[in-house]
Amino acid sequence: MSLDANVVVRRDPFLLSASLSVKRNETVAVVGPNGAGKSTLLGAIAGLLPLTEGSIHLDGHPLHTRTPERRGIGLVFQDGLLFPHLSAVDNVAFGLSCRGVRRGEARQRARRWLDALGVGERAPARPAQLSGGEARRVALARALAVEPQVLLLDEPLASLDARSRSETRAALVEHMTAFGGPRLIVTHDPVDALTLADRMVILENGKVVQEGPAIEVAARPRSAYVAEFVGLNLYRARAEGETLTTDDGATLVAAGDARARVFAVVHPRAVALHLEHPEGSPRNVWEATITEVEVQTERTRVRTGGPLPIVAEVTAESAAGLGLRRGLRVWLSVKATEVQTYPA
Amino acid sequence: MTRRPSPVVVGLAIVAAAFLLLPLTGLVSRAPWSGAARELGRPEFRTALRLSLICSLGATAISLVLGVPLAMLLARHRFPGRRLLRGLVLLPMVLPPVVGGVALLTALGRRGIAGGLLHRAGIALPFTTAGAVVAGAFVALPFMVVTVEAGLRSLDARLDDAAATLGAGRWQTFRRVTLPLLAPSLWAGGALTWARALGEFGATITFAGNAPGRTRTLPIEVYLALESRPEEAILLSVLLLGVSLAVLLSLRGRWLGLP
Repeated sequence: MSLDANVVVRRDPFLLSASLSVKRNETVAVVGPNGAGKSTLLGAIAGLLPLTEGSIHLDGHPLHTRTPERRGIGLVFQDGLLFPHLSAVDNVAFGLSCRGVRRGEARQRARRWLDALGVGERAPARPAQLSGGEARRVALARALAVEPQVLLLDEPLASLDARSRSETRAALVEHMTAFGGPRLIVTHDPVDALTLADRMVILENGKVVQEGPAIEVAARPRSAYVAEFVGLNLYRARAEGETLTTDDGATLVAAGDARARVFAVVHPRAVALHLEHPEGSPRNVWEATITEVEVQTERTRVRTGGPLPIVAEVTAESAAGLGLRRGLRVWLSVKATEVQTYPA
Repeated sequence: MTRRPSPVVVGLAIVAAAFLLLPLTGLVSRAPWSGAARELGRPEFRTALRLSLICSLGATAISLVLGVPLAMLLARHRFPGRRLLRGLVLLPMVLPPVVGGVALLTALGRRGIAGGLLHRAGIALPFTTAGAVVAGAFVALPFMVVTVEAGLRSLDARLDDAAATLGAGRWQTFRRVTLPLLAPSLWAGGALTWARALGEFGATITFAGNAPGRTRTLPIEVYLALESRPEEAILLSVLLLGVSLAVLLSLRGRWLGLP
């Protein structure tokens, strides 16, 4: 029981060619840089864009031959996309009355959906009067009210402030679980992908470059974009015993003993920064120039250049203590056991 | 900060405003208000008025039925020749109306390129009331297309997508999403189209003639009356001026720049 999509959409020069399947009661996050084809993928599955080639099946039944209004696929659009001339409750009732449910009945059911999503008291409000978080919930209620077989969500939490983001995320988790069908969510945010999705599909340049359980993708990225997305340093390298030679010609010492092409990841927090050559045991020690210092709330991210570019994350105190700034020469150290490798 | 305008600009602007307003003032001040009731009771006037209403409303209806789909295609879809088509659609707005009338004759006249077909089907347009409706629609349709197209462009086309995923078919989407959101543009387009068709003279008299009771609309009545009964001509002109003013006021913010 699943949604199986094999989508080819050609819009010269762009080509989206992606296959994915989502099981019942599973959430798959589609993640990728801008212009990777994420929204195109959702649009094609929903039937809003014609397939150049391919097919879409739900439980073995073809959907791609049906018009969007007959696919039973709910789509929550990026900014909610509520009908501006209808109140919140009429937005939610819209789909029901299109399906022939009588006005009063449709309104009642719409109202129950708004209540379930915690925005019942906003029923008479026009979309322009709703806050960002409220609008997203109304949009979710609108999509769920017609009881679709499949739920697609395009950046359901984008551009919300921190508080309404976490509230809306909680509502999303609750109702996605209650929904029970296959769910596909497009997101830019690693936290959303990891908290909402069971599996991740990475889309780059119209192609699936990696997919797997969310935790595994987060731990073993296979492209620079994914590594950046999950916040890891990634190197492509050739392993000769414990010595890794990266494609840029730098050397790293890892704990493994493979003889193969590998990916190596280093967590930014495993990178130590020093002003002098460090004493002691770390196997990987090198000197580099700081190219960027990014201060976050509790941690500071420091990017260094050279043949082994790396991002280190240190506490705000130690960043201040070391006087880290752009252009400063520093010593970096990473223990061999902190260099994780896996086959390329 | 904007600097004070130069005296030259202010002076010329005053001349321009006076130039536009003076004739209208003349019209209103010279109108024979005392004999108005008698003049307006004349059967010629009533016939012309009825005919004008039929022709202008008919032209507006044609413009709605044909102009909205054309505006939708121009606003929402890409196809070869779209820019050219948009340019040509605007042509009647700048074309001398009498040229429009001659063009209609050559196209829809009895020996016209499409008129032969119409004639064989038993439809005669030149010098008939239906012809006056067609002439009005020809000159007024662009106003509908332009206004509705601008309205459609300001709508988010993805709202149609949202409606489709909720189970709305094309017609339901049009009726329940596009139409209500487009209503202000339809009103504006309708008002402009109607006003343009109501005032139509050149294309009508060329294509449809000036047969009393059949094609002699108010503007033609005004023109003909000017020779023999100038009082009546002035009065009818004031009436048409009032209609234009009412249309302008009904469009308020859209065209007058008022909030």
